[in-house]
Amino acid sequence: MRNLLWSGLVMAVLLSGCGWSGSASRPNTITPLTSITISAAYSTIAQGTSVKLTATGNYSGLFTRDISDQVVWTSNATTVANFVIAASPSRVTGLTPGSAVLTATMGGMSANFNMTVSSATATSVTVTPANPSIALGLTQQFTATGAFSDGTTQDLTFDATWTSSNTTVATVSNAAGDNNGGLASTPSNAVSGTTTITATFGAVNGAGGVSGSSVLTVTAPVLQSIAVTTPNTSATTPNPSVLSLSTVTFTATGTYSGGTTNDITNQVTWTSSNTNVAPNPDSTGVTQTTTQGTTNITASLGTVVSNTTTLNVNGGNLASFPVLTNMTVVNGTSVPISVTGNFGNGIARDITGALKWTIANPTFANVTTVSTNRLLIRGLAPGTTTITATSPGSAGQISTAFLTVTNPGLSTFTVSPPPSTGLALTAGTSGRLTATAYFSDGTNQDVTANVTWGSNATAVATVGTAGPTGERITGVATGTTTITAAFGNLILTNPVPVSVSTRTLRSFTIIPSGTVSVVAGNQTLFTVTATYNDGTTVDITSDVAWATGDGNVAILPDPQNQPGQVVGVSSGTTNLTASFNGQTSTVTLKVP
Amino acid sequence: MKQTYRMILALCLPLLLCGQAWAAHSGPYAGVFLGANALMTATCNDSLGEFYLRFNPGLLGSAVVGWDFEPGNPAGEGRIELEYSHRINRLDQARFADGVAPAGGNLTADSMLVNFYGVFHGEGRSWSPYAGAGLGAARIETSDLTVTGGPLSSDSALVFAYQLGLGIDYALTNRLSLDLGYRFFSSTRPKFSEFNGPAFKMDYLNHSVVLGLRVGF
Repeated sequence: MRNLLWSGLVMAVLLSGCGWSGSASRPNTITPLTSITISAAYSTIAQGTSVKLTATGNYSGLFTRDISDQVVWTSNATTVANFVIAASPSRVTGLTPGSAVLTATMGGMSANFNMTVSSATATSVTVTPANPSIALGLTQQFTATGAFSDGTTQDLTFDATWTSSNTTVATVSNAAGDNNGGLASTPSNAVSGTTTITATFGAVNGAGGVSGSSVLTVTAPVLQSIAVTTPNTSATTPNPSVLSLSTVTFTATGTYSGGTTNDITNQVTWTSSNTNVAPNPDSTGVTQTTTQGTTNITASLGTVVSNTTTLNVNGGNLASFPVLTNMTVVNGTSVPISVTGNFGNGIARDITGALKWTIANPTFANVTTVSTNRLLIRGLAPGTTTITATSPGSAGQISTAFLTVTNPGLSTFTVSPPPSTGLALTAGTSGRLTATAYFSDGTNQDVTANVTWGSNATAVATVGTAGPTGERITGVATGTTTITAAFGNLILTNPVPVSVSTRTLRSFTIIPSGTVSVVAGNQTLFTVTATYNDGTTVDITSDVAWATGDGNVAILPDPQNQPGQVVGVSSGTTNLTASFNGQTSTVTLKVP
Repeated sequence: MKQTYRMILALCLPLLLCGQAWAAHSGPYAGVFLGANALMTATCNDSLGEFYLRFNPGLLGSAVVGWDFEPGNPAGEGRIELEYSHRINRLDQARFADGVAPAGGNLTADSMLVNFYGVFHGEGRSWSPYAGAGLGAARIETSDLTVTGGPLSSDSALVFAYQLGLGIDYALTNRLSLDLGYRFFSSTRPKFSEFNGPAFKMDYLNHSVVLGLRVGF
């Protein structure tokens, strides 16, 4: 039995070589040519007109092929009819009335065609199509048909002279060649309008002859194609990868007849094939992803439909986020909110900016967005309301808590580090100040974002914007200054002294360094430490410019308020670069 | 083909089932083989594009000299041999972009290979399956290939060749054994000049069934 199986296998392999496969592209130039036939639209032509002959080769009865351009054309009466047009070697021209035998010869084979040249004269020329309309950038082929004195008609497209009455609207070709005459096109700087296309036959030195015409209307450019892109798409990566619960902005670029392009994002109809993964983008091309998966995004306008862009959503599905706790904010101040989502399998990341925040009574408080994941609740009037966070998607999770806006009197406020300590900075780097207010009801609150900060010598140090870890003070040049702070009706009695030293940067490195594995959907924090020539080391994580090489692999979700925070997006390798003081440091990010 | 296959089975099965067990031979041997081969439809390319050549099944003849390793040899049980083979196939049809055309002429392959076969001897039986592979060179020749009477090529090329083989040895005596085997033979793509045209490269993939006798010394 085993031997039989072997034999069967052998037979199956043998038979596998017996069939044709693939598609041949090489023409058969080996089979001998056995006959030639000649055909033409007319066997009688009027004097001064021409007709194209077609020679068809028969190869041993197996196949035929157009060999018009390969045969040698001859006439036995060259004064009657002859091949005189170099650009169209198979076109014969009637020169004088009479008869001629035209011959095509190739490979020892030949065929004859009897041609008669009549003395008929053209009585009219008709140009078709009549009064067509085209959009800017498109072309229109016209045909000229002549009526002759002997009652015959003949295609004169090749023999007529073509003109356009308004070449700023359209031009018409007289170029030699069988398919060039009568081709109207709009120049690159053409304008909409009308022009009369005229075909004239039989003119002598530009005068006389018989003409026919057609009015061509050129309209505004028409949309011919739509290209959909995102900031992360390219020719090599047409389908972007993003995280779940992230915002994606699509752009639709229309290409019009004539080659012009235009941003038509807000004109198209956006469609997502899987709205569970991402809903249809809005009129600005923006959509927010919800769950892992893929969806095809298309844009359409009229009958024109864009290419399909497949949006790959990674980073896990949101399993839960912490229940909001009741909050209190002093009237006229702001407090930050932050929520970390749990995506299962140990994946967790900041989703503050991805949630929809709702204040039940907006007269008491509002929510403002400072950056992607930095949101502030600001008390507007004393009272109690509720604040609700809702995750995106049709099955979004909801958490609600009480929000109380109090209105106590301000007792005092302090800053950290205190004036007794101050800040010591290296020029080009920054430090942080925070402020805490104490109220008459015994409560206190971080009011860093609400304090008015100032520098007494901005040439030495400047004040930036409040971030999640305090107010940013940046050293500019060697010297000393003081930072002032005012909150409510109070002014900090003793300003914070700041001393700035200028040092020569030796190097800086990203930590961790080398090749770092980053899990898709998870946050990984990188820091940067600079080393100066005097041996001083400074954390410059907030001072460098961060960038990832490929946003489809890893992103910096909020570099302004979470500097150095990297989240893996999809499998691949890319670089994380930190730039500072004209130098760069790079690590390799590898997302499994 | 089916009848031939049945005859071979009818002849071999009784031998396999009822034969007397002989001691496995070791030492030098020589053998001759005859068989049938099927050359797979060849994909060909030249500067004008891709075309295909289809061949009829043909004959195969080969001669071998080699050495049987003795049973229990630490290098393994099997044999090493030098094989000369001659394969011939007649060109039947050619397919171009214009369609299929009748064709003629022969394609021959003369090869010299060094084969290594592992043999699986069994206690108390005369038949032993084997499998192995060979490496070497082949001279492949297009002998007056024509398409619809028009000349295509008459040329030859020396190429690297290899072979995979398996089969069954049947020991008729201590020194004489019958061998029924299958061979897959292929080569790097030979390049042949065309008449009045460019040169073309083609695939060479061949399946063979062989029957042979080997004599040990």
